[in-house]
Amino acid sequence: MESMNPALSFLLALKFGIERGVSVRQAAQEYLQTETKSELSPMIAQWLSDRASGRDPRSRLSKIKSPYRKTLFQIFDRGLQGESIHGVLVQMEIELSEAQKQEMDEFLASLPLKMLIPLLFFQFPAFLLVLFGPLLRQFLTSF
Amino acid sequence: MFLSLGISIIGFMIECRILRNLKVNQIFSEKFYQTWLSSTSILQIIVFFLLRQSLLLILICTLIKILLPICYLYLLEIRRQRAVRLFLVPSLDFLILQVRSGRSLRESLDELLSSKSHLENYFREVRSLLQFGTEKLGSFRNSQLDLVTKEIFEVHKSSFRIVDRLKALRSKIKAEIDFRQRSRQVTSQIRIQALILSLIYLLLIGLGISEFHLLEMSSLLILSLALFVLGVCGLFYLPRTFRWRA
Repeated sequence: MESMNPALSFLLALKFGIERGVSVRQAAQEYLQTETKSELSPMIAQWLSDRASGRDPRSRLSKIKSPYRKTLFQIFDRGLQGESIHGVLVQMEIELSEAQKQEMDEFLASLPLKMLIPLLFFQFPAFLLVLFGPLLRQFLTSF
Repeated sequence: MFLSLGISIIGFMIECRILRNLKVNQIFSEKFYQTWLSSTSILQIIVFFLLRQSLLLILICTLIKILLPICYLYLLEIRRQRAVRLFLVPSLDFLILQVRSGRSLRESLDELLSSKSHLENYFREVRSLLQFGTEKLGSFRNSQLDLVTKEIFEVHKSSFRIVDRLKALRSKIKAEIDFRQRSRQVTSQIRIQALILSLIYLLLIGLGISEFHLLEMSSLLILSLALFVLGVCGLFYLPRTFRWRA
């Protein structure tokens, strides 16, 4: 929860790189240097090395489940081949931000229900023990 | 008596070591370090002479004194993060406006400093680094501040499309801050619930000890405490279960 959606973070890095005037490849490499723990980093590194060695990395797309990430990698690939992708990235950013917001809202909506699990299984018994433990003991010793 | 003296001395040495580390890492200034050190030394002597008969009290006081600089550091970090969250984007807005009005990046930074920005120390450091041309990246212990420093240096070096690059930087930082704000909404909800539950639980334990002699039932108390701590840990573990699908 603390970290941003990796697809959006990669997209922002690409867009920021293009706006700064660096190439898509360089922007991706900078992203790999700063976001070493990102979920997408291994895929980006493999993609870059595939492109550098002349292999077609698009076969890797089948491994990606999220349609957003799949589209992002397609755009990234177009950028690596020299196409202008800034406009597409701007549109994609809006879509991804919406998706991220929706996912967070879903999680927030499900949170009260999820919070019940530790509450019911751990904290409620802990309260009961403190409340009724001494009473139960008094009750048992009274016989 | 000797044990109390030993605990006091060891505690004082640990505290001095923590304070020295903070000074070496430039979190504390020399003056602040000296003031803290002299006041803590006096306090340690007073505590020892007043409480030397009670080993437990000496131990508690020493622990509190060791934890104080750590808590202070934690508070400083919270304050800094808040300043970054609230004032970094407006400061970049100000810089963009200044550059758009025809000033150079350095002049814009000077203007920002004269307008008493909340991130004044940070921008002052960036300004002096620009002046002396020494790039000190990754030294602000904050990814956003480091990114801004790096970009300001690059913009200053190239002097090309300054406004566009600053605007791009602002939009990236803004997106990250917006996200963090939403994610904090989730974590703060959990923190508040855990805090309220802990307060109620502590009150109940206090009541149990004073009215129902709960201390005599140590196994029950330990079991209840263990369950409660597990519950709190479970609550804090909840946000970690979140996985991005998009």
